[in-house]
Amino acid sequence: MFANSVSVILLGIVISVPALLLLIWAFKHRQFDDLNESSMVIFDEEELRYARPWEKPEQVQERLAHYGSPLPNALPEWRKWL
Amino acid sequence: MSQDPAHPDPAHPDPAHPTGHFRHHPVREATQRDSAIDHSKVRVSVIDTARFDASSRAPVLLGFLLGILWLLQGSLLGDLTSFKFDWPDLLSAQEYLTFGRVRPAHLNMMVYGWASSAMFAVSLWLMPRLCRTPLRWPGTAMAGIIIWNIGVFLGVALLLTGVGDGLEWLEMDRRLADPLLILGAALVGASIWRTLADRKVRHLYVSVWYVAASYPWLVIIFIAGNLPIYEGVESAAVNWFYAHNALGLWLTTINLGLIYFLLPKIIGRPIYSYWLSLVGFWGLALFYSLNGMHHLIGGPMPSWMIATSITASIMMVIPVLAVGINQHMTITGRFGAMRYSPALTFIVLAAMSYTAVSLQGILTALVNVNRITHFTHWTIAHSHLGVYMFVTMSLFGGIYYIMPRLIGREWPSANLIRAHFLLVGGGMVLYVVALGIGGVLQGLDMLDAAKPFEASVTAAKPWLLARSVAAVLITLGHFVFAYHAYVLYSLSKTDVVPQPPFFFIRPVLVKNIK
Repeated sequence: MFANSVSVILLGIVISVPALLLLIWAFKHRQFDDLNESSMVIFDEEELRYARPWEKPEQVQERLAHYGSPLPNALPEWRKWL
Repeated sequence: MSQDPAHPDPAHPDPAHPTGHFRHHPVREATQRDSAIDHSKVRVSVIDTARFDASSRAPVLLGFLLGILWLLQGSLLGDLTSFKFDWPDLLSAQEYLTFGRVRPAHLNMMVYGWASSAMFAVSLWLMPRLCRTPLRWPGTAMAGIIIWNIGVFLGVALLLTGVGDGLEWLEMDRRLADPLLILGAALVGASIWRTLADRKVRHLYVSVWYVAASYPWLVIIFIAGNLPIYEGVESAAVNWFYAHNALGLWLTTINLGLIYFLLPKIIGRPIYSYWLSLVGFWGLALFYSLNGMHHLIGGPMPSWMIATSITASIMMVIPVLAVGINQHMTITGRFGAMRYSPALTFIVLAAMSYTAVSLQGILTALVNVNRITHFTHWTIAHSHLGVYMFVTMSLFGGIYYIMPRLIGREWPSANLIRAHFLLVGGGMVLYVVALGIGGVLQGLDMLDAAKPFEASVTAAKPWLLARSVAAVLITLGHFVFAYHAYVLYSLSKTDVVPQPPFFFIRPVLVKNIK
């Protein structure tokens, strides 16, 4: 059954076992706590306050409620559309 | 670093928030406790972001430049390869332009030249932003990109002269070209991991997991695949172990990392479920590696290997659906944003294609489906759905987003962006549909014992011609894109100017706005 199989088994272990160890490391270092809050780290300061022209009125209200009044956009070509 | 709006200075209340909404901004104490520095203080200013971008500017632009050059050359060779199905004697008098050399040269140019060079650039741009620190060892990263590209050049040149290893996705010469590729990837990876080690945040965003893991995985599988120690069945098994993992643990991972960054960033809301995004990553990391042997169904392989591979392939439903549902729920209700942002348009198309190609791959791994599609053009349609509709579209989206931030200028022409999108998008839909249909017809004819082999060729012929038309459209799109990138670069500012986050988003598909 294991003829011609040794290399593939070894390679599978080499790829997957470090991933398993990293998963344990991540749990130990509490990488999975407060996940939803962690998803915010990609945004710069005030970034979520900029109005998006495609948003529906209820989405604009949602943004207003969560992040405060919108900031004006600096790009001149956008001004006529915002 | 700047003060977080969730904790405003009481001495200077924000006049824009009389109701105090910012006080409920979702940053909790537990997250702060787990960080090297408080999460409440890691929201960076646009000045910091510009500083991070400036640190990676040179290697990122180099990666994009070399990648785009490979994209043009690889496209032309792809067209020639396609034409040879329609006119088999085309340019067959010159040995270096015969199908057996041009086809692997096209594949290697696109995978290792275009996609990998652009992915180096994307990784080097993402990591400083996500680790909140300037890129470490940028010179090492640049040297890595150059060495990698010299390796690709050597490998492709040798392929065209008839020197190659003859293994799928590992055609380049293992003595002259491959060591350069390994060294190049290791150097870029060293810069990535050094930046990761110096990160200013303790929590690793999901894109960091994807990008950082990709480099050791690439180096390991590439070395393993190229070792000259395998024979017979074992050689075939290791070959497909490499080829499938090159897709799943290199091309896929970097681009999913990019999508998880850009999708929420552009539409301006966090990812729908961060937990699902981690399920997607860990599912891939733990279960993907044995998928590849499903390419050898029907071959003289140990039965456990095929069974395990099919099982692993089916298990991929979990991470694939996790990613697909998460990305869909993030963008849902905001698809209109695609009309405004070319980067988002390409990124969303790529995200959808990832789900589609993964589900198609799982179906193709089933024995009953594989019996029809194996050894047919269906496989080529499938691989282009993955490497082009997912990987290349994602990289186009990344370039549309990243380059203006490094150049300091917006893309000059909305019309050129529109032409690029319509040519490559339309061309690739035609490509995948035509070859998919042609492949199934070809497979059914090959399975019919009453029909001669020639019937399968005749059945596929019109679909191959449609593929050639599609290939020409796609190549035209690439030249439009390359010209536009050149014009943008020629307008480059030398100084890096911090801009508001919502600055470089060009309204591309919007014509009549009230």
